Amino acid sequence: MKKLLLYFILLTAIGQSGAQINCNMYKWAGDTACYRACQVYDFANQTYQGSRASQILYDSVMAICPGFDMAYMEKAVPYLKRGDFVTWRYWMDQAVALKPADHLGYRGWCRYQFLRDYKGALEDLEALEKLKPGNMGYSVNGDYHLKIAQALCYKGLGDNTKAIALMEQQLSTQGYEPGYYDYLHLAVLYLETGQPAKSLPLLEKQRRLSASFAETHYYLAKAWFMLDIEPEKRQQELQKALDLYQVGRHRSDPYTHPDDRIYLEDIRSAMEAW
Amino acid sequence: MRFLPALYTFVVLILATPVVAQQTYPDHVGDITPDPAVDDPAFRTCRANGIPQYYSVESGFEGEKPALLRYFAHNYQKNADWSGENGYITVRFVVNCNGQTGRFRVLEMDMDYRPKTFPKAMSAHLLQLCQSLSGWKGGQSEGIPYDYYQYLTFTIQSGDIVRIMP
Repeated sequence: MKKLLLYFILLTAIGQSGAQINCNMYKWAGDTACYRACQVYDFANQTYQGSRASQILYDSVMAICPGFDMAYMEKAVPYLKRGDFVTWRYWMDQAVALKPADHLGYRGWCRYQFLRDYKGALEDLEALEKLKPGNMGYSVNGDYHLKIAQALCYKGLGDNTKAIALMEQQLSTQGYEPGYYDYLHLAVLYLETGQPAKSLPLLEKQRRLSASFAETHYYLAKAWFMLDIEPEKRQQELQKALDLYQVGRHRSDPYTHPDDRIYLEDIRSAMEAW
Repeated sequence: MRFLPALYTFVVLILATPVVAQQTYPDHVGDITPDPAVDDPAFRTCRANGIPQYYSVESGFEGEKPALLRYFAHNYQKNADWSGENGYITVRFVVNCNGQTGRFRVLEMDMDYRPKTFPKAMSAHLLQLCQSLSGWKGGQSEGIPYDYYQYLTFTIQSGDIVRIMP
């Protein structure tokens, strides 16, 4: 009983985020075991992620309802965030095996985000595409459509042509609302393939979409430098990049460094060289 | 008294659960228990327990990631015997609130996320480089100093470091 009370104290300490599930769907289906498991799962989602109590509760969910895929996924998450990728894969793979269409995108995205395992991420994302053609969904942080993530993986593997083609294709898809960083990544791809003129309209779109982070200004200055135009405005853009950077307005992610992010020394070097 | 219904629910849920605790867990996934046999006895954390992860507090490295990459590029010395080695080596450790490091642990896996053992000298070399690396910033959150857990994952291809995460 003392242990139970201790767990309760731990549980109420801090909330965490697990995906919400409507437990009634199990009730309506007459699956009382999984209904009960779902209630435990909801409870587990209120616990501190990675705590002993949290992990034990997810184990409980699995014991009551072995097909409850979300419990395997949530149990895996703290291992991912803390660098134990072997254990993460062990649990994550079970979630994928139970519901591949629901979890391949997340696993693929994490392989890209945490390890830049481009090849492995592409395997997952391409398998997902076969299951959900035309509707792959978004990265778990909401920053990218998974088609854009695929493109970033091809870039990581050195296939810039394929990366550009995928991004252009996605951006021209009817009804697609461009992600917050799509134009930036495509613009950088054009810069890196020696096509700065093609990057300019994209950076302008990016600026209209979000002028408030340093990378937009830095890469605009870079495009002008490569084209050998606008020498004064280059420095103005770099100064804007510096000002924004110094107040923390640059690409960031709590867990890893995003692709195409810049660093303070990049801006300072550019101010000297461009 | 408002918590009583929640406590009741919790107790019912747990008691109704066919058991579970076949696996044992630390207080938090990833906790590193100090080990006098391998840890520097001089290393001290600023708090006795409750060390958060790097992403939960303000943390980082002086000179940012480019400085860290330069350090390993300059100091990692590949041995010809390691040319066939591929996979990931993760070094996990604690940064205390003063930016000092300790309690280093090494995790190794192959390219398919399966446990793997790299040549002992190779792991030891990377571990030693991590132990010698200075420049970590002490953790902070809302002006309060914190220790934190940090890790570095090295992607190894043909014995070379091709990437360092996060």
